[in-house]
Amino acid sequence: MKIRVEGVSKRYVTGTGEVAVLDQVTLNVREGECLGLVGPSGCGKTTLLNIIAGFTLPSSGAVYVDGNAVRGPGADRGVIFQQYAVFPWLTVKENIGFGLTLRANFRPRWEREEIVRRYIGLMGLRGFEEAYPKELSGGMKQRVALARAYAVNPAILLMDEPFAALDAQTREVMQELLLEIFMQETKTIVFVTHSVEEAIFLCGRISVLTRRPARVARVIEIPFEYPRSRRLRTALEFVRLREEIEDLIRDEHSKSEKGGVKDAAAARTDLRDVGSVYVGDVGVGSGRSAGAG
Amino acid sequence: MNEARGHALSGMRVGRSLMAAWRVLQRVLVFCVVLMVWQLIAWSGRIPEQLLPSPVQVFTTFSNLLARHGLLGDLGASVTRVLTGVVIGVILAIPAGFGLGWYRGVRVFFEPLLNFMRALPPIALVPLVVVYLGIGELARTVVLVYAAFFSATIVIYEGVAGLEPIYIRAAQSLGANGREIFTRVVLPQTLPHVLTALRVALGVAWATLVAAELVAAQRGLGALIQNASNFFQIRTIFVGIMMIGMTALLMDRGVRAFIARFVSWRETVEER
Repeated sequence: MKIRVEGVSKRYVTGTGEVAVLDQVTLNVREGECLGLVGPSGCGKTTLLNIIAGFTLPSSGAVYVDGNAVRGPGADRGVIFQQYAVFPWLTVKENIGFGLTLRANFRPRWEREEIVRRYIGLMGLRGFEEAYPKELSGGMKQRVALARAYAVNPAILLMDEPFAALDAQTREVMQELLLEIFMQETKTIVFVTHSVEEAIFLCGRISVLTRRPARVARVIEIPFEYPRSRRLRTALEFVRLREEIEDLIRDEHSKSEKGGVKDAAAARTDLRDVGSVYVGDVGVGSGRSAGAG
Repeated sequence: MNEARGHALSGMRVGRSLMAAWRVLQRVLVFCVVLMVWQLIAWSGRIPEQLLPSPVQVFTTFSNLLARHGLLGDLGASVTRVLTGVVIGVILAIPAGFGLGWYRGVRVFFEPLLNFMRALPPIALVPLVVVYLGIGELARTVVLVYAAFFSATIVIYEGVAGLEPIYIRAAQSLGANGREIFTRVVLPQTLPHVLTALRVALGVAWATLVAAELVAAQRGLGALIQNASNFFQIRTIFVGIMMIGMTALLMDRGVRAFIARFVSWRETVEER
């Protein structure tokens, strides 16, 4: 296992008391796979990703990368943010080369320029080398961010709803670009998204989280072979799987709207049941709250 | 204007330089209007000229002072004082602003004091400064440094406190250590705020100049105004005021041009 998340819980102290975001989350990420994290909105997907990235420390439990406990952020785990986080004071070229000028993964100038040129080509950014981010569209900024992360060659890529802020067309293009690069340079990817369609299209497995405090409700194997083409999106099997997972999440979501803090414990045992049901039988779980769907 | 339009159409080059001229004209247009209204009021004779001299009279006094009383010397003395005060004030404000912006504890502790000090009008400090530091150049400079320091500190610390943590995270996950985060991420993001602080400090320093030169200054635009007021020389007072205003305006334009040049990566509202 490349990444092991073991019994990770996270509680925040707020003005009105303690809020539990993650509750004993345990999951494994295999080397070279793309694992999707989906769940009802606000369920703590991003918190979990931040803990894997090392930005946030868990309240209890631990994350292991190659068997070593994560104690902070590091160049072995590249992060792609929804807000791009491309440095606005640097040009496209300087952004992509940024990591290679740091002590942690320093490369001499000629080597750096070669790597930068390679990713400029791969990401379709040719002609924009000297542009500043303010001159770029959202999709191009995210290409720069991807190139910047790839340039330091991390074994792991953590992606936090990277395409959520893009328009639908650009989003599909970016998904296909990501798959293409994933085929060329395989990395272990954890992909947080609220789009089930995106998760199925990109990922080998999907981990469905419960409502807050989040646990892993189910891990689903995606049966489609790589390389995947855009046609897959409209395949009957694809659409069916998508509906099943969406029902599961909607079910979770309606619970989070109805359920108060009081019956949190009850809901949790409930979910454990759901967790054991086979993918094909999701209908059993969702039937209970059909009114919400 | 019609003629100008015709030229603009005839060639891009001519058009562009005309556009530049038009832009400059836009900037000074309001002053032309003010001068015209002022001259009209003077001509109307409603206000005695001992109280409101006409622009022409003020200009005559201006050239007199320039030729016979060393107005340029006054200007030089004031510019030197303002620049000394601003440079020292901003240099001190940079570490202070960083400390306040970066460490929440420091900010919580010092902020009330900072706002208290900033709210004090520098002119109220003049008597104290005279008692403690005498009536030399040091005393005058201290008043200006005081004014520049507090205004610049606030601008810098608000800039540092408002830095986006996401860039720090991005740098961390690319392998940056603490020192690299500071020099490669925090500093470049703060530079625009330091330059804005410079602008604000310059404005405040010019506004404080007259107070600083209350401390027995022989030369300087503020001293010129005070001496003139002792002898009820209204025209000289007008010359002094207009010199201060124009110099401050030109310096501000200079800093803004510098900002536009060196932090062009920013998305600014002014950019059009």
